[in-house]
Amino acid sequence: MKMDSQQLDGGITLIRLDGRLDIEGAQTLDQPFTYATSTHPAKIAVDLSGVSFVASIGIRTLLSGARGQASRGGKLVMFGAQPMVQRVLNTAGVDQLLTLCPDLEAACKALAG
Amino acid sequence: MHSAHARRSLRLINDSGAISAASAWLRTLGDSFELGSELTFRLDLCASELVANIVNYAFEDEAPHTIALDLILEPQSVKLAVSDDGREFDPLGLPDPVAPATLEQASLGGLGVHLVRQFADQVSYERVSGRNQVTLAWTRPGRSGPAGGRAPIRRGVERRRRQSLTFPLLRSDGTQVAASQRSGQERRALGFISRIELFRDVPYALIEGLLAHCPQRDYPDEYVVLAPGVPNENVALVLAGRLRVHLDSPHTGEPAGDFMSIMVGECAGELSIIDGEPASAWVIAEPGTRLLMIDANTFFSELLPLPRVARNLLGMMAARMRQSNNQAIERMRNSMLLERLQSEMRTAQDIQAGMLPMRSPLFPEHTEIECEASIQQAREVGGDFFDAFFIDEKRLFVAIGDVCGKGMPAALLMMRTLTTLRSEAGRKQGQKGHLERVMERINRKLALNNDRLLFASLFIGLLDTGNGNFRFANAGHMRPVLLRKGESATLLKVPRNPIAGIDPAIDYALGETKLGRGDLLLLYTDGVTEAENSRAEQFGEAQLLATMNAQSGGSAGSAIAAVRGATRAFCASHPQADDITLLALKYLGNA
Repeated sequence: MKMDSQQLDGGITLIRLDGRLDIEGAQTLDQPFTYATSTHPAKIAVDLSGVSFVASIGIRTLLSGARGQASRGGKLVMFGAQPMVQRVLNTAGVDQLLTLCPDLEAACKALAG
Repeated sequence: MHSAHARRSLRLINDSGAISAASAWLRTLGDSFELGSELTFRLDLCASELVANIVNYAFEDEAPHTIALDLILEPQSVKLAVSDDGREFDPLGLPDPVAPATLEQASLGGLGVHLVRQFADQVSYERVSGRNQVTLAWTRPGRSGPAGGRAPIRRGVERRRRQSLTFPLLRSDGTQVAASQRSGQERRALGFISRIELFRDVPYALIEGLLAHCPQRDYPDEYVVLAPGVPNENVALVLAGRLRVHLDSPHTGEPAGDFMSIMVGECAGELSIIDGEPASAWVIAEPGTRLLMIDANTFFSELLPLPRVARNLLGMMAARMRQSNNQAIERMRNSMLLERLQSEMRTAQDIQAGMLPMRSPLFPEHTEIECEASIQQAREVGGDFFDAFFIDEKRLFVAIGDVCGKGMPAALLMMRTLTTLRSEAGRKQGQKGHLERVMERINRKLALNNDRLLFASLFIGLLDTGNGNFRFANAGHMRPVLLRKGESATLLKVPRNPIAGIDPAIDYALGETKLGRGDLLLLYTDGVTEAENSRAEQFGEAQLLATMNAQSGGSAGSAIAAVRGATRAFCASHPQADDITLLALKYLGNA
């Protein structure tokens, strides 16, 4: 599991995830992702296009990041999930808790709004 | 490698590495057996979740335990069996998690099991010799069966040995999942659940999440929701208003009452969802009806596996079946009743016809006269009648009449009049005053006890066949046609008297004439002169007289045939409205 982040125009932080969000991926990601998303208020777009697998433990990692950001008063959206990953997120109800966008452009629009 | 049949097994120790090991094993097998990325994803996800649950929750001791995974490939299906010797845990007994309304409220208890249920086509659980065994199954992609298509595996629970929940319920984070996590608005939208028969005694939390995504539809105006032959893809729950189920098209103005109602809390469409056939009846939403549309997939894979829901559905269908059975019995009873009535009407018609002298000619042994009669009934039982009989060797009694009204009451009165006529006319009476007495007695009998105000017009006459003397009485009937030999037809001059049955105390005046040899008398009912054509014109007395003029010198039989032919030609295709009755009497005298 790999994660990197970069600053975009409009004060948006782009976090790119790459790999499997299974138990190992979640363990790898927990600390850096929580740090990146929950320490200060921000507009964060999480790129899921490189995530090939997600299990419930990975969902927990994603949601804890979103929850942390929400408690800071910022906003976190995700975009670009692969079809099966999108299905898992929908089945878990994640799509009702945070904004899942098809692509970066939509994600930036959602963060700007 | 693309084997039709294969079995692979993996045994793992219950440490945290087991989850990744199971996952890696399945990905390898998915590749080598070419199961495709989607199915491999599903296998990977389900195995990860099940093994994670076992590792985290199944064991209370520190001793190592074996987790067994078996992948079974069959030509059309893929099965994954996961078993452990930990505490008894049926993942199917766990309620579905309630979708949290906000991030803050989000708890992820039971999510793993929920994902397994959603990403396996079938889930079954058995507790066998101290082991939990969960078996998952999928339809195998990209392989066709012998028939060219693969049999789809129905989503849902295939088989369960145990239905009771095993406590404690296992949750991945220990927090309580309560129904109170929905917002007020969502709760109001779903407040109907408790009133729905299908969900009686089903825990609210179990179905709330399932139904939240089902659309609700409002019908402000009457609307045809289903029609025969139309494919149906939803079970419609009535939340408000009413559905009517018509077997026949509701647009043909069939009598109201010939439909079944589906009331609030009941559902429609489940039959066609179950058997996959198109709808078999018209289902109409009445104005103000609100329906919740549950798609077939949700219905089968999420609602029906709930034992209480299945039981409620069976109960509803049994009640529905009973109701339609009762309806069918009622219909059959009505149709049998109608059949009996029709059969009784036919019997009445036979009896009525049997009472009239239907011979032709009527008195072949009496060469001094010709007497012919004919009756054409407009409906099964009519009010017209006629009679002709000798009261002694040379006196012929004739009668023709018409009871007002139609149908069974008229027929009964006609029979009563006819029997009275016969008994009175047949009495041994002196010649003097006989006919008056017959008429007066009939009138009195009809007038007394005549609560239903039924009347009869009646013409009776007595012909002395020895000398041609004809005496007659008339109670409001049509004047007979007299066709004297060598003359044109005229209407017989008759004394005017009211119809029979009104006033019991009327004295009937008699008329008298003398028939010469070759004279012909035609008695008829108003069905002849009032026969109508399609332009609402009546046949009338003038045409009747003209028809009879052309019969000068003809026989009694040919006179009747001529009048019948003329009325039939006049009416053409216009249906006959009244009985047409004719009685012709020709005096030949003694040769």
